Amino acid sequence: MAINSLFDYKLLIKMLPLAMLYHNNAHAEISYDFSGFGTLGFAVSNNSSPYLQYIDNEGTFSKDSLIAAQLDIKFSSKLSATIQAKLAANNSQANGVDVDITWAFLSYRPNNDWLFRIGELQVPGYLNSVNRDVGVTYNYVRLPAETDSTSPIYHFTGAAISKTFNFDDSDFIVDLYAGKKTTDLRYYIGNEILGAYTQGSSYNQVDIDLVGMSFSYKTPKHTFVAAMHRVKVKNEGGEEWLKEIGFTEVIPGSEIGYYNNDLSSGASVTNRLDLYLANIGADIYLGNDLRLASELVYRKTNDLNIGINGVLGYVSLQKRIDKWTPYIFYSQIKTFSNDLKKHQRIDSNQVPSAIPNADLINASQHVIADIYQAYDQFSVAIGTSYRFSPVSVLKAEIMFVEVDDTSSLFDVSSQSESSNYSTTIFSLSYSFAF
Amino acid sequence: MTNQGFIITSLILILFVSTPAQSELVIIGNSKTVFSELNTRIISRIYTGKIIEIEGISVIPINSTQTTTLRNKFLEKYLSQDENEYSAYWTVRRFIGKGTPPKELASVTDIINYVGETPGAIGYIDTDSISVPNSVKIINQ
Repeated sequence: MAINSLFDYKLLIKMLPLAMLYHNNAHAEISYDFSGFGTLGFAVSNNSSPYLQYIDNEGTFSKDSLIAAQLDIKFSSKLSATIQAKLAANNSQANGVDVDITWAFLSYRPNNDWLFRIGELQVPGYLNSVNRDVGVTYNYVRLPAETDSTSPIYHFTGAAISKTFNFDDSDFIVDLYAGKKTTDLRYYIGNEILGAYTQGSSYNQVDIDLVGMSFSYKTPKHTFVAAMHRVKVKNEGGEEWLKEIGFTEVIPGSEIGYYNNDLSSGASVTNRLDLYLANIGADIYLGNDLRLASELVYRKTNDLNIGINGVLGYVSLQKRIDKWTPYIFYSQIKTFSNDLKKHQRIDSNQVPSAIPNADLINASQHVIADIYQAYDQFSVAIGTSYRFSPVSVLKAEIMFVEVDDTSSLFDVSSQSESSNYSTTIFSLSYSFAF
Repeated sequence: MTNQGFIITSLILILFVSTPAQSELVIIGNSKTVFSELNTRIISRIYTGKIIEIEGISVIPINSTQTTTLRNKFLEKYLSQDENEYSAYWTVRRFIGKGTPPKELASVTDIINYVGETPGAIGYIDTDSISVPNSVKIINQ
């Protein structure tokens, strides 16, 4: 078992004595509240290429299963601390499980409208971004992956300020946040090049600085969100990223050649990028126990010409029928057209076998395409939840994923079909909280 | 008066006299608390964690334990929710790091004693089950 993020505790440990000092001065009653939640989830597909790292035709408990515990310490009505630890399959390494500190913060709420938090915090701004691990809080088996996969991280060490504007029957909330995180970005190499790349998961350690602002408008029945995030990513390990991909003509004047990272062929590299995300979303009650939810995300970096630039989103419809809530959603992710075409050109580029080292060159084209990453897929899911109680829910779902040009959400080996394929995924899960 | 009229009149009188006093759910606060009256909307926002202070005084809401008739009546009257909706609300709020649900006490006597001893505390009781002592005051009914 790998235990990471221990450094996340440090800030909280440093702050707790200050909180205790405040408490001693305030003569307030300290209260402790222990709680937890978890999900046991199984998913299986009809595709040997894993989807979202884990889901393939052998079935897995790794994608959706987790267990978490939370301790809330209330020093006074204004000052409190929260720590939440999660045990789940590791999303940034190939094997094993990981203990992750998902919340660890000191919270100061001087009055009804202001909230200051410092420590390990979750990225706000989406409809379910701060409760994505808590399965009992939504009806989907898992959040639509095309949108949920948007962010390179889900929590960070930093600070957040929240201001609530209260109206008669609604609240308008502004959240500002900023912080840092060191993490491993994962990508899948579908081909082996001796001495250079091995087929399988590959990881880049990166330092991330992020800052963002989100707006929420909540009424008893509806929620609307909008947010902007800037993520500065610095590559701390592995080779530099290709800012521009070079092309070397094997036969001068012809289009026969190969893409590469040779600076003399026009390639340029960088070890940092600024990624910008903007999103809007709404969860609307339509009446008759029917809810419509939708989110749309725009993701763009000007520093790399790669396939993460694109648009993604989903729309869902849920109907509550006593303890059942059947739902359907359509979700899509698509790399911008020019970047998608470029990915296709690289992935499909092959030099004639008569060219020296043709096998090696052709294999390298797939590897560059894998690193480039690109997305062109949609999914349709039909499922239902059954609530035994507010904190105990069983869910089942069947999902159809259709990949057009390509999708880096699948780990596809170069020997497999990487475009125009479909996959069916069946999922069953039980979520609880206490 | 005929016998038939006498019987009908007697039955009406018996019915009137034997009808139990209508029980009433009231919100109580510490008698020394500065606020003297809270409206339904403010009480709803206190019990959903959106209001933590009034006029600079920290407000400490007290709930009756789950599955009591008293709590169900309170949730329906002040929050227009049932127990499932209220529990679901606090499940989300707790795990998004926005606080924990109000403290729960098992009996009306415990609620009255706690509110009476704690400045800023508010709770709810059924006036049919117990009389209101001087240590607390009714702030909504």
